[in-house]
Amino acid sequence: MPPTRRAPASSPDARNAAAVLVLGPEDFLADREVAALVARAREADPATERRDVDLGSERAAGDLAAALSPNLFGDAAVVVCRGAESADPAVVEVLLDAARSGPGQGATLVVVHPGGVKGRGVADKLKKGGFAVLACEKPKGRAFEEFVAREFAAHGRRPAGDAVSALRAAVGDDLRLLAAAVAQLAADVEGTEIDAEDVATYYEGVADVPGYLISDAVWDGRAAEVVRRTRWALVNDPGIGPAITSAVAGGLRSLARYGSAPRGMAEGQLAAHVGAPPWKLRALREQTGRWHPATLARAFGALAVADAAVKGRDARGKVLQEAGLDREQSSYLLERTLLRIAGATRTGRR
Amino acid sequence: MTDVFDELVGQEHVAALLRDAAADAAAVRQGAVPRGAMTHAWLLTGPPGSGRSVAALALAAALVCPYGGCGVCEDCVAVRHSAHVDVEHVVPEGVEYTVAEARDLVARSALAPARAQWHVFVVEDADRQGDASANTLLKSIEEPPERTVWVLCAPSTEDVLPTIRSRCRHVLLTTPSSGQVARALHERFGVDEQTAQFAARAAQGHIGRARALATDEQARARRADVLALPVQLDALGDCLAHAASLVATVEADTAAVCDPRDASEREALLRAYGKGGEGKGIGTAERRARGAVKDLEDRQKKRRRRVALDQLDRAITDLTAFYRDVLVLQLGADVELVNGELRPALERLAALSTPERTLRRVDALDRTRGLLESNVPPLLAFESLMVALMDPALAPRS
Repeated sequence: MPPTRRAPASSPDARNAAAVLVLGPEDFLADREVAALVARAREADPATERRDVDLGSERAAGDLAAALSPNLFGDAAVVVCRGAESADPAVVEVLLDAARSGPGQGATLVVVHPGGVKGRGVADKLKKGGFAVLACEKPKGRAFEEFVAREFAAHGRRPAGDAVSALRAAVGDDLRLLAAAVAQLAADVEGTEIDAEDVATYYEGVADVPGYLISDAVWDGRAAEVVRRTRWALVNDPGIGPAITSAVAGGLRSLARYGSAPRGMAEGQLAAHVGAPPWKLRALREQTGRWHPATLARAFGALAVADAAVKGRDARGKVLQEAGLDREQSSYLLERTLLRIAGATRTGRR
Repeated sequence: MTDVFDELVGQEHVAALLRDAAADAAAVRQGAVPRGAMTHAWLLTGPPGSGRSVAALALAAALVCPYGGCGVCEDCVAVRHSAHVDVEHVVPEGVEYTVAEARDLVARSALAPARAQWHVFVVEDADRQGDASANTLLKSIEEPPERTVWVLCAPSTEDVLPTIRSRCRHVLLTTPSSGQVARALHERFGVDEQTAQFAARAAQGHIGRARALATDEQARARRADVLALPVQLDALGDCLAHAASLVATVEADTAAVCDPRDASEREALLRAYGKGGEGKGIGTAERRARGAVKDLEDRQKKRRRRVALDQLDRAITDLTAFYRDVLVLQLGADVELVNGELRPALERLAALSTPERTLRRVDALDRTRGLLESNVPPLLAFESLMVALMDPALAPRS
């Protein structure tokens, strides 16, 4: 294994320093740290001004000098500098000077740097030059769970049971989205505890819906779920149609092969014949019972046409747009096809 | 008289027309007043396999050959191998010509011939291009430089833009009869008469296909496999298995054709960018090479798809002929069977189904072609096809 760089740790008491380096790739945390620093300064002096400087721009040197000079009334200021990773050496010198001599009465100098390889030299120089470090690493493992728990705590709530992992499954790993989701849950749910059930009520099916979930819903004959999941998937990513038809066709293929497998096959043999992992066999057995072989046979043709439609063509190779059918209608065609299939179980209507 | 136009099978009227055009062109170069038999842009149309590209190359050879298309001189031989400096023989690499390819052609069409009297552009599958690329060619086709000649090939005039069509002289080739194809196979390629007749019938007038069937063991085997399918499709499981094995065979054949070619092209490209070199500037060269390799891979991917689609299309064509024969038997029509050697299978299917159902199956075959054109994965398209061809009545009674 290659040697890994240790994630930088925050300096003690960094939040009270006059020159701060907010360092790390997690821009959501960086934004928060900056906002907290500004809020803290305003607590001490409500007239504190926030001045933003882009260190990557061509005018960085001038902007920085202007931002660092005290204004006429001697008000306190927080100078927030972004783009440090692409700052000029001359500009870095100005930053170091300011940190050495103190940025001026009541002023705080904050430099935001995303870490990483680009501009690593700048970050190292600033660290050596007396900037206190506030680390904004992406929390992993335990730290991640703690982050989510802290988010709940900030709203006076507590996650119960599997709430954290349910939320993570539904929303994903993006901290900004997670924090927003927690805030929304805190607003929607009453009581101090928020559990996985609550998360499911508000968030299930919102994140990327993998095609296989839709496929399972179709072949389990759960029509309502098919519609819900398909719509969500298409809303989130209008180009996902082909992935859906492909997954549903894959499900159909396994199902039809399972149904037509010779009797008395050993489990391993059967799995190979079907082309599915052995643990799927049980689900397939349950699904097979719901379908008439003729229905499955017809589904191949219907799916092929739906697949052409989500690719913008019809079954004759013609471009649908020329026939006056737009993307929304081809999505509708997909939804209708899946719904018809899901509704054609032995017990359901034909 | 033997000349390059003798290679055309069953197209006597076309041969006469083009021979006359070449003669007129040669006379014009010697200062004669043009008779109007020659023109600067030709559109050769005819069903696949009727010999469009053979006719186009014959015209090209007749124009660049100092003896008017003798078929044996250095120029004629070079044209036949697509190696003549003044005959640009273009074939779409991917599914379609791109605008960039069209621009390149236009630029080259401005050049005077290097050694012959004419600079000839033979554009095969001129229907395989979008409007943008066709419009790029338009100006040059309408009014090329004095000694440039365009020869476009397409299945029918409807397949090219009306603006292109109106600027070309149209020549129509017809499907040769299987007798003519068989004779050509026998006389030209030394195929024995019986094989020649089988191949000519099976290929339904497609000369190139007939030749492949007559001379290539594997082509015959693939065709036999495909035609053995209809009587085996008695249950869903078999349909899926047959679709999977057919698509897998096509993929394997495609890989066998494309893999070595892709690898050698890639190697040649990297060498051109200085692979294995060292010293100053090698970093820049490597970066540029990466972009070029990406372009090459894109083109190779397109070509691969085309090669696979062509094979799938052949399978569909063969199956269509099979069901056409079933229909012939069902209706008692007095026409020659394409697949006479499969008579027992044909009769069995004819007895089991009705003409209506046979027609529905032919329609399903046609739809499958459309689905493939619509980019539906070949496996799904063929699964739906096999299901449509399935006949549970074929199952052995137990």
